[in-house]
Amino acid sequence: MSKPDDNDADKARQVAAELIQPVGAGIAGSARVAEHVKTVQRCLVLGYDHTDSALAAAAWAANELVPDGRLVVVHATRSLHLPAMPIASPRERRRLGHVLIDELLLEGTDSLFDIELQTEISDDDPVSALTDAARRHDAGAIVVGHDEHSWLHSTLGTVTSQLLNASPVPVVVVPRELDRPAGASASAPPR
Amino acid sequence: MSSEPMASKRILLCFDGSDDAVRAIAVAGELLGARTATLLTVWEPAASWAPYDPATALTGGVSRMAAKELGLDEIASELARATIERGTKLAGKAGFDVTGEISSGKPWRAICDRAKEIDATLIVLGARGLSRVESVLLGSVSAAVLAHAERPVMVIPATSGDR
Repeated sequence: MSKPDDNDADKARQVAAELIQPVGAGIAGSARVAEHVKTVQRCLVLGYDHTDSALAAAAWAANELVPDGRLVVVHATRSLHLPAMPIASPRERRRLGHVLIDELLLEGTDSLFDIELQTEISDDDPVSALTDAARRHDAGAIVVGHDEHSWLHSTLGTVTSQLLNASPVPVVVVPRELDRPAGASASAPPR
Repeated sequence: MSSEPMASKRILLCFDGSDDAVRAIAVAGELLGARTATLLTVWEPAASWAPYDPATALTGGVSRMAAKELGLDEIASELARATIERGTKLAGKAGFDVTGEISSGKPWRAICDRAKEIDATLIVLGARGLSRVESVLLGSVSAAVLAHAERPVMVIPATSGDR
């Protein structure tokens, strides 16, 4: 748009190519279209909190983005409706967040290594952190894990239900894998 | 195909003809690209209304008889046929390789059952469907599917697309 000359030159080249070699021009044209589609990199935002379901969510997102997508892993250090952890400084909270994401890379699916990864540790609550990241990265969707809660609990507002209400983009909710017992790694991180 | 494990597998699109469902199909098409999909429309038999609704608990029997007399079930299944036709067209336009299906029963249960049968890798639905009961957060069907599906569910908010 900003360079009308280039566009004109392109058009002229295309017309010339069509005149000279119709078959070749067709191939060149479709290649250009394919290139344009490829430049729009697919991006997903993942909420990660080191639960089994979050691990399953990471696997789903990574498989979805292979081979050339981008995954923004967001860890929020503050709980919904609660103030920041009083005993930890912001710096300590960020370090803890980075450790959790390192663990995701160690425990998670291999597909995570095949895509572009970006990590963000936020001092905000999960809902604000995720919606904010989705807006900034122009993400296609937010992916979160979902652990089973009682009906009452889920109606009263877990992160998931609040997120569904606040998110500007689609939210993919991934349950923990069924063959894994509840809290297998969440309650006792492997050492 | 082996480099795209998700692409070969089937997703379940839920369509009730509401504006949210229409938008959900368009947004999902943009996000997921060309995939094999089953489009499901569920209609609720009149007989299943009463026991769930305290307001009609006493008159349940009478309304069931009236429903039979008025042919409400026939009307509902007729509407479902029209809805599925519209939905399949929309989904095809959005890029899905789609098969339409009609089912009857409680919507959330029908959706979860069908997803299990076709081993769907993803269920797609709009945040709020046709019911005009204004819940604070989510449509009742979406909430129930989230709680019971046992597989990834994509919920598409009403505002998505005009952000």
